[in-house]
Amino acid sequence: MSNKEFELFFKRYYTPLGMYVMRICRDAVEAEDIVQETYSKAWEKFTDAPLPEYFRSYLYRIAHNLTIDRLRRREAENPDLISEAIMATEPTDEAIDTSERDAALWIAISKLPQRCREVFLFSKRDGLSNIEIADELGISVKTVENHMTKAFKSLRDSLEPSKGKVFFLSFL
Amino acid sequence: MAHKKEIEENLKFVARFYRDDTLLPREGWKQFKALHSLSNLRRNIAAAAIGIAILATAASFYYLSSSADRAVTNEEIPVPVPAQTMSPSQRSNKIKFHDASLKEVITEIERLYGVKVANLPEKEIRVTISYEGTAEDVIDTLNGLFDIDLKIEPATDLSPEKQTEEK
Repeated sequence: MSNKEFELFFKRYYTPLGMYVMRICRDAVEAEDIVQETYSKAWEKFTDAPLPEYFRSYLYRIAHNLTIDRLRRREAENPDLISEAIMATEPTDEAIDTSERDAALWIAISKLPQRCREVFLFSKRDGLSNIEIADELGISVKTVENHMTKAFKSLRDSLEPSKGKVFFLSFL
Repeated sequence: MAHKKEIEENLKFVARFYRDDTLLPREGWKQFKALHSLSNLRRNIAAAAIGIAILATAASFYYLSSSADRAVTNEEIPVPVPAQTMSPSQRSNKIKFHDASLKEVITEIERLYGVKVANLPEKEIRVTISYEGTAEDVIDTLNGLFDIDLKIEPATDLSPEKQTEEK
């Protein structure tokens, strides 16, 4: 396996793997740490060998196992997390598809202009109304609405048709 | 509708946990490369250190063994003294006694090496010895073993050849 080949796979699955792990561990920074560790293991295993066809499944399985290991170490603090995660003994196709959608949205959010992203997160993460966001940022409600429209358009465009399904995003 | 709900759920989840500059492919790759370059550097440094240690150890063994060889060689090459100029007392002979009196041993030494030994102690001493060396070596050894003070009298050549000649 060449460095270039590995880099392509790395970038292709980095965010989806992170989203999959984050669904279990509920923390973006920890998820990134686990994904880095996952790729380190893959690197050690396949650095002198061709990448197998099942490489994607391999990555998800390793990421899953590493996440479970970490959660087990924190079992006393988060028993609920453990029971949910253990129910999924290995990554399912559905979970992998979800992680791909999550990843597309994550990257789309990261590409939003800063103010647009702020407005969007105030709305969807913090649950603030347009009026509350306008007050918080010192802008007009109309501006808030414009930012939200722009954000939704970007996010909609980021979700590609997949497996014959077409995803629509409604605007509120 | 099911799809719409699904997307809404995705959006809420992602927005809830979103953090700037986290879980992005390009930045992640830079971090990964840096970590593995560093790991490789550490590994290379460790390998070099081990290699140097092995070489140093091998060099030490070689040096020590060749020093020992030289030492042995030195010891094994005595300063040559032509036989006809060497006095009997300077020649190396072998003596062996088992529970013999010191007097007996001295008598034999005197005969073998052609020397006269003085200062015999009055006390009775029994000697069990197997020794190879010059007269001086033997006398020194006996002195050390029994805490006595035997001396070879100077300029006396009582070698068997001389004694025969005198007769």
